[in-house]
Amino acid sequence: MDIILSAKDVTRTYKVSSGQVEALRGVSYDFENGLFYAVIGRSGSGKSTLLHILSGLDRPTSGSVEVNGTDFTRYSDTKMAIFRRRHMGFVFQQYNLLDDYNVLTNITMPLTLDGRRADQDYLQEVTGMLGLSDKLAKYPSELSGGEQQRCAIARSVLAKPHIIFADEPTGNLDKKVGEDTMGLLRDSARRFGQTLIVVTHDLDIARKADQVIHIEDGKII
Amino acid sequence: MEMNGELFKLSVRALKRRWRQAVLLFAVLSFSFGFAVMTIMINGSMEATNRAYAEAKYGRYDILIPYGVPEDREWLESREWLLKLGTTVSYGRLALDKDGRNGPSIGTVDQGFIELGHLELESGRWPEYPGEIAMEESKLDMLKLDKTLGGTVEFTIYVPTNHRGLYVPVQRSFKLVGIIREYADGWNYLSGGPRAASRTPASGAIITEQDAQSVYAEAGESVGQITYEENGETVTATLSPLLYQYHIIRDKDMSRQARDELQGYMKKAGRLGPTFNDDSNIQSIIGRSAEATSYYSTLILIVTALGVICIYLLRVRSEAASLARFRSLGLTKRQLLLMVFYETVIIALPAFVVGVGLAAGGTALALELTVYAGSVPVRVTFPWKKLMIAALLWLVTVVAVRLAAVFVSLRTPLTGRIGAPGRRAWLIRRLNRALIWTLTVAVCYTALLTFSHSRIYLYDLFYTKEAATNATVSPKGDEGTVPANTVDRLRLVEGVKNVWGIRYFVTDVMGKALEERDEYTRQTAPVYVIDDADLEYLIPFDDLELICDSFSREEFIAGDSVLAVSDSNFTLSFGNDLDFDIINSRELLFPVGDGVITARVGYGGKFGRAVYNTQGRDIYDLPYYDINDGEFSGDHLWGILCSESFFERFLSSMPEGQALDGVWTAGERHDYNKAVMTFYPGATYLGAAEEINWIVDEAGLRSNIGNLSSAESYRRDFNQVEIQFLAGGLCVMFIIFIVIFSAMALEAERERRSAGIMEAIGLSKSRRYLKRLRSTLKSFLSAAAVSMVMIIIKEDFYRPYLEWLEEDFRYNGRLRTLSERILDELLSCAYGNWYQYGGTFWRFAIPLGICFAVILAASVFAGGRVTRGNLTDRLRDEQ
Repeated sequence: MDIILSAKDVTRTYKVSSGQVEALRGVSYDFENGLFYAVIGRSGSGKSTLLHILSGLDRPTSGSVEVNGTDFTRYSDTKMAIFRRRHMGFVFQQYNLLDDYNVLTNITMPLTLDGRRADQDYLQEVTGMLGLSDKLAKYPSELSGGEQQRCAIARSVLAKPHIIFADEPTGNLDKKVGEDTMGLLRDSARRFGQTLIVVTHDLDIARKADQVIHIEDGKII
Repeated sequence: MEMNGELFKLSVRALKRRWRQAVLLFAVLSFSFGFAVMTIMINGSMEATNRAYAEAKYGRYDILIPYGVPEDREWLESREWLLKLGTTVSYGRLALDKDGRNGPSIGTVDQGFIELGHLELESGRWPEYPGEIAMEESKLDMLKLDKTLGGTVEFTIYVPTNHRGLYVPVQRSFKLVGIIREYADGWNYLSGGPRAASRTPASGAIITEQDAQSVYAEAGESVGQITYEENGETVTATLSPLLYQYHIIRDKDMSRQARDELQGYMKKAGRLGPTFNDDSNIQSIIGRSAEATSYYSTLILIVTALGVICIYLLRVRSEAASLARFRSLGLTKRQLLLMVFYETVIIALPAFVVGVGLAAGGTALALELTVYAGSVPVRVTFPWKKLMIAALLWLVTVVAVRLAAVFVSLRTPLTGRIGAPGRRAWLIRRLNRALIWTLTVAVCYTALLTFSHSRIYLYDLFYTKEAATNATVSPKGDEGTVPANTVDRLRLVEGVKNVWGIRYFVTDVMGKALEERDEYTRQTAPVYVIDDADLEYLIPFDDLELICDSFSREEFIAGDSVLAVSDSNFTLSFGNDLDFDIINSRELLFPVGDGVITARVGYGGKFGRAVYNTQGRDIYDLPYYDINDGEFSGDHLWGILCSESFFERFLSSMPEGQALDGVWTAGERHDYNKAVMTFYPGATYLGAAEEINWIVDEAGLRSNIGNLSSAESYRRDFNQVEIQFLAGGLCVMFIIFIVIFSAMALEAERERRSAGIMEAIGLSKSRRYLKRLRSTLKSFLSAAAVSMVMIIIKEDFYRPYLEWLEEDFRYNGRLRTLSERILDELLSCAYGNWYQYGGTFWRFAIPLGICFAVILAASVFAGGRVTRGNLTDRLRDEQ
């Protein structure tokens, strides 16, 4: 299989009032194209930090992260932003939907920012699959938690990114809705050949992953 | 390009979604910008109106050469900057005052001078043929001449010689062909430069040049017979050179060249320099007015900036979070800035347009309602350059503040629940509260400043607006008095608000008494006697009694008290501490005793009257006017205000023949043999003027309705500055109130969740309200205290207390009375600079009360927003 994403000796240190915290300590890992990865570990083990660095939302203190052989950690903010909206999708635990826009605008936002228009067939397919077809005109504040998360998923897949990152996407949802949501995310990724990297506490989700990455004290074990 | 369009659409959608906030921001921006522009516009408009007024009232020439020679004309006509030239030549005096000076003159004017628009005919025509004359009505009155057009007038012309006070009398008779509208005040106006110019006599009688030359020739024949003593030798008099005056309108674009050439020319000729209108008192009024508007324009811009900062700062957290979310989706920095720019422009541009509209409408309305400019329409100007500068500054401020949100968003981590980190959020919250507190101080300070400086009330404003109907009603000539029933009839005219009666016993006696003291050789003394019935008008309230601690109205009315008003500065001395003034009073045989009050009041200075401007009325209106008119003579005047019964006693104690000889009124000399009664009716509408005229004519009296005195024009100009202060202050207050309202409302939105949590764990709504009100009260009281201290320091209100302190040490060696005085002051607020600016307890209590009421309302309103909706919604609130 092709390696799409590769982390090489990534470290991340935070400064706090009591000194320094090493969230990641020399993490190296190769992600293959089209697979579903689950990143698990205890709270504070560094799994979310790893996800943020892999997705370009944060920068490593040292080390590199390559997509198709290109290290994007040295990209400028602008280049990184463009790279992110073209190649990566992200599902946040807190959804991070834009309150001022309706569902349709929210899910097409990465495309809009990139100056592209959504493929209408694909849009209908995604929203239909995620059960959002009748909620496109609504605003985030008018949706339930599960609906907001599905909206976030739709946003992450619509631009057909190569990699989708999800940070505890079911953390705020009940078990049933969580399973459904995860199923949708997984099906979507599989169907469009996207690599899915999910940070989760849920071992049931992890069991369904192609690969499970276990992090402990900032290291992959 | 297409991308930019998409970003623009996104900005529009976001604003639509947040339409309440957008409207609020739009309101703040449009009002603030509108008010800033309005202040600038009022400044420009006032300036233009004042200039137009000055032109209309005082003539359109802007340079005067007061002591010219015939050769000047040729030189002036060859100047490239000369647009118009008018010439007057004075040949002699119509009458002489006791010093043999300063009488009105007789002379010629050329067509150019008439075309300047300064000199107008009331009736008849200009003299065209030898033997004809046009005169001012007051000059005819003064000389007791028949005013019938076509009739013959005969009088003596006093042609000046080279010896001061020595004139050659020439008897002449003329056919009266025209009555000139009175215009002598115009000459005063031009006296801004060398003092000598103000002594330049106005020609109250115009004759043909042929007649004038004949008078001069006859005087020249007689002058050889007149001799005078100089250094022990007998010298034969010669005629003074003719007095040419050149009135010039120059090309404004060549002002500097004109000034330089004129000054060089006059210096070379060894003569007095020209007088420029630029130096006149109107300029100082314009200057003060500009100062007022600049002050408030700057203040408004600062307040606007603070307001915008405050509002955006409140939104900065949520806005930064929103922008950070955009960034997480791949929005580049350029796109981010573009979005912010679009959002700003979408609100700011319409706000700019609406602001300009508001300013234009507001200025026109404010000026129309409040400014009286005589026959000149109020000019509303549109100062484009200043407007653009203000707009630029304003936009820069708005954009700079918005960039702060971008700055914060760029530093917001894109991980987890995106939003400002706790520490920064705390800082923003503290900063915001500090800003609201600062704005509260600003609004209290502005309110105090505005109200303490604006001694203007609506009554006063409208009274001033109708000042054209003010009239002086006095007997014709020096015979008789105003019939008593005339006053009652005047009072019955619809629209007449008041009729103030003054009996003039203006005498030389004080002057003579003072002449014995070398330093007062030129002082004259008007004495005003107030009809007991008019006391209510003149002393309508009790303020005087507050000032003068031993003053008793009952004694005053009974005639046992005297209020003497002198010149010099406007420091009040009162009580029985009678030093400087009372010495003179004794010389005047005043039966001085207990209860005699003296006070010293400034003359000529507009601020001097403020001491007496109480409750919308100037109790010293009349002395003030006459003191100003009297200033025309260049002498100091002494006025004494007393009751009529007292004055009767005073007269009876005067030595025979001293009391009623030589009277000065309205800047002119009248040889009244007995007291005359002059009334000042003030009417509320112009139609009343005609009726007043009718009554006056029927009673055989003289009135000068419509002839604004110089004091009235002072008052008008003064009011204009006041209006600017008032308008500027109210604008600033209004903006701050909007900002505080908005800031509190937005802060309340953010508090909803935390307030919900507090409510969920047991804090009742009523307690939350109480807590909020308590904190508002604390914050307001501290802000009010700070603003009070600031105003006290700014206005030097503490100075009288320091003086008391010094007095106590000097005279008593202790501070025993100081505490009593301070207590008294606190209770009455009736002394010191605060009082001079019209300060009373209510003058600071009312503005602060208004501020408190508005801030309290804002707090209650915000409190309502915090607890609005059900608890579960509030707990879910993202803010």
